[in-house]
Amino acid sequence: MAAISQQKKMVEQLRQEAALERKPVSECVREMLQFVEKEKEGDCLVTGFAAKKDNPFQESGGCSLL
Amino acid sequence: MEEQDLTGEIETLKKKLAEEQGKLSDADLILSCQKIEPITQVNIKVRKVLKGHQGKVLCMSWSQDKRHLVSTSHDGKLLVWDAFTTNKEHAISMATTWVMACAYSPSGQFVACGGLDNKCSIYPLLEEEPVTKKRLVGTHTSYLACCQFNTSDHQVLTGSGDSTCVLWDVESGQMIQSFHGHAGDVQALDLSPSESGRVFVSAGCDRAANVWDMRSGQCVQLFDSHESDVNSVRFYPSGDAFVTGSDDASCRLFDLRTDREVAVYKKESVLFGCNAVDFSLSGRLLFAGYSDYVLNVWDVLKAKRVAMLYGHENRVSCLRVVPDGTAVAGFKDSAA
Repeated sequence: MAAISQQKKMVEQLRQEAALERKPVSECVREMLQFVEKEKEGDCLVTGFAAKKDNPFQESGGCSLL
Repeated sequence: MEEQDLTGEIETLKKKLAEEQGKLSDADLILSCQKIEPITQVNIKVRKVLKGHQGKVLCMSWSQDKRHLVSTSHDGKLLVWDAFTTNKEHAISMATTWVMACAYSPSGQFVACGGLDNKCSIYPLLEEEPVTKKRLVGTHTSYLACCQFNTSDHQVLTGSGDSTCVLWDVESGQMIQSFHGHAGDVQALDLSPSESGRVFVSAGCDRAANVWDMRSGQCVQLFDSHESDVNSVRFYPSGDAFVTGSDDASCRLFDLRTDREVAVYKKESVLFGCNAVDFSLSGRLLFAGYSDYVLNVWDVLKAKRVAMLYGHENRVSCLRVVPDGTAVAGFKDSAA
């Protein structure tokens, strides 16, 4: 009996998955590339920092006594 | 008779699904990106070392303020750090060791955590003695593996060794929704950055990653191409895809819109299980921590490793990129 109810659940699950709207991979790739391009400038781990002091984790410069 | 009909229908539906997915497979992510400029250098250096835990660090979470982070350890301690100064701002001793899950609340006022005690508890950081004002959010029937605040300080999503995920109301301690479907321990979860409060992904020892509708409690998509336990899962910054890290030594990128795996990040020389994954802000870089002491940095669009970051003497157990993408913190056995 338990096996049947599990199978019924699986049928329900599969029916729902079958009804899902899917996009072609080519479209998804295009959108992903657009996103990466758009966000590239702000991604410090990819494009780095314009100036050392923009990096909040950079150790601040030392002082030298003259 | 009924059982035979059902088995038949299951087979038909599975075939239909495979056909549908196959029709849409009109391109390959990696092949399509061959003309993109490769990443020629990765200038990532160790800037800070956070020392203080006495045992293996099991979980960490950044605050939305992009400078504080919380970490929990096998030694039973929860530490809150200022990552700019490396100072420890709070040290809370848990009643249990093996605190496997922790999360910083969006406001920064609370941290949620739990582990072998099967519970998810919340601590107010603004109190003088947070440990005295501890509040129980929810209890599972097995260990707490992961937790995250759901868009506000009022709801927490948990994943457990009991194979379920649950959304809890912090104030009342009531279960708002439960998510059943995994066939093994849940190891990790992540909330969608684009479908805030509506969608999340969970992954676990059943080798699968499940995408859930938070309102109905239904599993809307399931991805099971990994060959071993999935230890970590993280949404792509756009929310359209997510990456998983597994004991099968690979990371995989799954796109929700096309409902399939679109890339695999693996190398013959990378033999050890991946325990932690996260993306850089634009999603171009994938940071993955492995059991062989290394943090591999992958070019997401080319499926090529572009850097290996050392600086850890032990297993990288968790890592997270800061909310504004300025740094990545990786915890190994006893220090960041």
